[in-house]
Amino acid sequence: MINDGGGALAPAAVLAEAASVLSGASYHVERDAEKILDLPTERAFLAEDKYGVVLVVVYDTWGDLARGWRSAQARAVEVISDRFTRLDRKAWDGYLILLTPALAAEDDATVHEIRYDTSRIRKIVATGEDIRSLSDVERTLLPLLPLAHDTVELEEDASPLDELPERLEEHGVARELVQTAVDAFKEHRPIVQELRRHLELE
Amino acid sequence: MRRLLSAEIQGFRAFGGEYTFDLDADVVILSGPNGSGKTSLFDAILWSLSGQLPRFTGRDSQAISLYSPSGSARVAVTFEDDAGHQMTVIRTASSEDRSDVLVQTPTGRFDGGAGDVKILETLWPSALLTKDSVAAFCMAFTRSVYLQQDLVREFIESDSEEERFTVMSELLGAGRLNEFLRELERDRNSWSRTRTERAREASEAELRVSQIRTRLERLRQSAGQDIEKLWKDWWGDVRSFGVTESEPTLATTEAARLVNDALGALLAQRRAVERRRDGAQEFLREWSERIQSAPSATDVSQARREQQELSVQLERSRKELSAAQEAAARERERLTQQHETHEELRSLATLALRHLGERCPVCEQKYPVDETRRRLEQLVAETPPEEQPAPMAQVEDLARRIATLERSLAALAVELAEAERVNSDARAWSESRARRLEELGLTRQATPADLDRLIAELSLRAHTMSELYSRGEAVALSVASASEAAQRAELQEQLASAQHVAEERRRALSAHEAAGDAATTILDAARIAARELVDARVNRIEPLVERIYARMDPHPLFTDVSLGTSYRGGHGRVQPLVADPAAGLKNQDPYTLFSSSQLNALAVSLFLGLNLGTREAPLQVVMLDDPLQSLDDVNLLGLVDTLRRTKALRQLVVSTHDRRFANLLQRKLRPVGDDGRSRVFSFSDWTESGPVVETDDVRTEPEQFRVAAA
Repeated sequence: MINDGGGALAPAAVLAEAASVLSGASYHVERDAEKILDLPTERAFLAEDKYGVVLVVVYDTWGDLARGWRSAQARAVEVISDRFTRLDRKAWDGYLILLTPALAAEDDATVHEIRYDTSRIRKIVATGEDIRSLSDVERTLLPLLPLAHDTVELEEDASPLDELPERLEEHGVARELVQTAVDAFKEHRPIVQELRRHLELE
Repeated sequence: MRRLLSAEIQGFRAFGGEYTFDLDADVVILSGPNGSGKTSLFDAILWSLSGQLPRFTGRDSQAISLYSPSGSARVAVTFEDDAGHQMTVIRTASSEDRSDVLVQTPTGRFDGGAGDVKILETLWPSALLTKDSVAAFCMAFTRSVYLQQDLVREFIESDSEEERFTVMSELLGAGRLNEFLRELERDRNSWSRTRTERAREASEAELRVSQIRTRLERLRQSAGQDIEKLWKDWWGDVRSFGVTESEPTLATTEAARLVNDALGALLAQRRAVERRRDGAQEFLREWSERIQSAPSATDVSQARREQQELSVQLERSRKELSAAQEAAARERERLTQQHETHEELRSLATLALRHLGERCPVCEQKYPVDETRRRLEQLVAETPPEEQPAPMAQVEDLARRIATLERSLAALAVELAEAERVNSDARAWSESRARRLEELGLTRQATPADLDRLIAELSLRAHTMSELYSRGEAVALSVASASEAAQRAELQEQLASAQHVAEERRRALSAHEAAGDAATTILDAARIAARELVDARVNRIEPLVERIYARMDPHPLFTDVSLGTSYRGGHGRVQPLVADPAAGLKNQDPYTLFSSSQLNALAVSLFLGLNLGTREAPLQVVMLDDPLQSLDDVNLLGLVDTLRRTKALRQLVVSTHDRRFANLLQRKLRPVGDDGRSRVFSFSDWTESGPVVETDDVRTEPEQFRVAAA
């Protein structure tokens, strides 16, 4: 079944979000694609970082995408070839991002074909199944984004073992008792024997 | 950032000769065919830091190259520590059994054990708390820094959920906590086993107290009799009775035994007296019966004379009979001859009568025929006389007489035998009586009256001894009673001691149980804390793993990945799970759903997530040994894109046997602007001394924007 009716997100919103995400990741974004590409500005834009060139095209329907991706690919290759020589490694570092908020046709192998067509330019495809919210747009573009965005700043953790007496005190276990067990473990002494000694001294 | 600066390798695995690798680059690409030595470079780094190659566990490690000229291996790895100082770890080995390490830092040199400690202090300090610190370090290193070529998917495929949890705990900082839990659990379990022994000891002590109490209750209080007098009187009587010669004092420790022995002797004597009396009584009864019923002895001399006379008569008669029988035989023979002669004449006469003629047939002479005939007829007609021989009557008389004599003799013999028996019996009784009288202490001539007096005397003695025995028992009771008093005192002391021991053991058991309970309390609470901690830390890196996975995007449907933690039987488990959000499928096991390529991509995602999410990873380096295995083109491109973004955060060391992939890496991981340096080591032409290695720096490209304006 072909769902050309589109998903919950408007293609314009998807396009805007993609531009925003790439811009936020230090890409130079050229929204006026029409003057460079023969594609409507409201449906495509170009982005460039120090490694490569990205063409993002958003289609209203899955049918549009299935019919138009080859043309978009040709345009992207053309633009890159116009601006870089074969010796420029950036010339080999292009990405074509094909997006549609519409659901792809069931049993349609085209998505798979596009994904696995590694000729000419690397292609990333996302349909309505992948893009259900604006955050999914960023997720689709993740291969293009710096990894630093994903890493969490891990705070300097205290040793869980050293924290144990305090933590277990919150569970009602005497701090000194737990400390005795931890110390015995660290010093490779029999733990329960040390606990007994501690209890006898109390 | 802790990153690699150089590696000097000599005599290690594929490197028989001496090699120096300048690793001071942001990206290091190792390119060359399989077997050219790329993996040996990775192994050299791990071996220098740990002295081990865990993937060779159970096999000869073969750290030393077969072609090492010196027969030894040496690896010197220099890296930069967090403070920017250089640290060089030099490990050497001349045999596979052991290696020596030397660590050089700006602050000093550390060798041997101190060197190993210095390495761990710098790279993985928490390993120092564990019993097998090298194993803990290797685990952290091979799960977060060095992804080994042949173990890419091991973390997903081979490791059990518990092993995975152990690795995750180690990397996320909870390794020592989990080790503490395992140690505490082991310790608590063995403590519980020894509790059984403590309880048994306490129970035994209680039982001992109970037994002593029971014995005390059985001991009676002393009756307070004058035991001294009883003792003295009784022993005097016993002596006078001749039972014993001794007269021991009451104070002797063997008083009870002596009384017992004397009572035994007394009883034996009394029974002997009673047996003698009973024997005398029986004898007297027997004697009386004999007097009344036994026949007296008779004189058999007359009968013997008669027997003798009859015997003479019988002999004479037998001789006469013999003579008469011989005479009768002779007469009978004569009569027989006479009869035979008569019969012969008669037969001849009969024949002659038949043949009588005028003349004699023999002599032919004439004879008186008639007279002859008459004579012959007379002979034929004559019958011989039937007479009995005369001696036969005498024989019969004599036989009758002999039979009479024999009967008389037989009767006389019976009569004589009976008389002899009676006489013999009388003699035997007389002999027996005399002997028994002597046995009873009387003369052979004693009378029944004497025997009667003896019986009375023995009865009196037995009675007296019986009374003495009863008094002896009273003495024994008194002695025992006195002994029990002493026992009571002794048992009271034992009871006090046993009660003390029981109390000590009760307290020991109680303290033992309290310590075990405390261990259980800590264990239960610490398990919860450990779960919370691991859950929190897994939750913290989970988004990172998920986003790295999303960058590689290996599966068109299962686009989400998570790390599921669970706890069973006090042991944690962790399992990578994938989800298909479009179909609402959650928590699916990727192993059953993914292709080999997709599993590899997931494993690399997990590895990179742990590398980037582990703040204190041993080195801020990602070492990927030929990660290309089974990756299809799309996953490969996803990996390369991810690596390009990783190089901003980690030093990358990646090897590949695939020339195309090497070129792709060079292009994608090229330095742009101020990115630093990318270096390529090309391995080829492996010889005995090792591979030919060519080094090239990837040209740095200036930043240039020609499509989209700044």
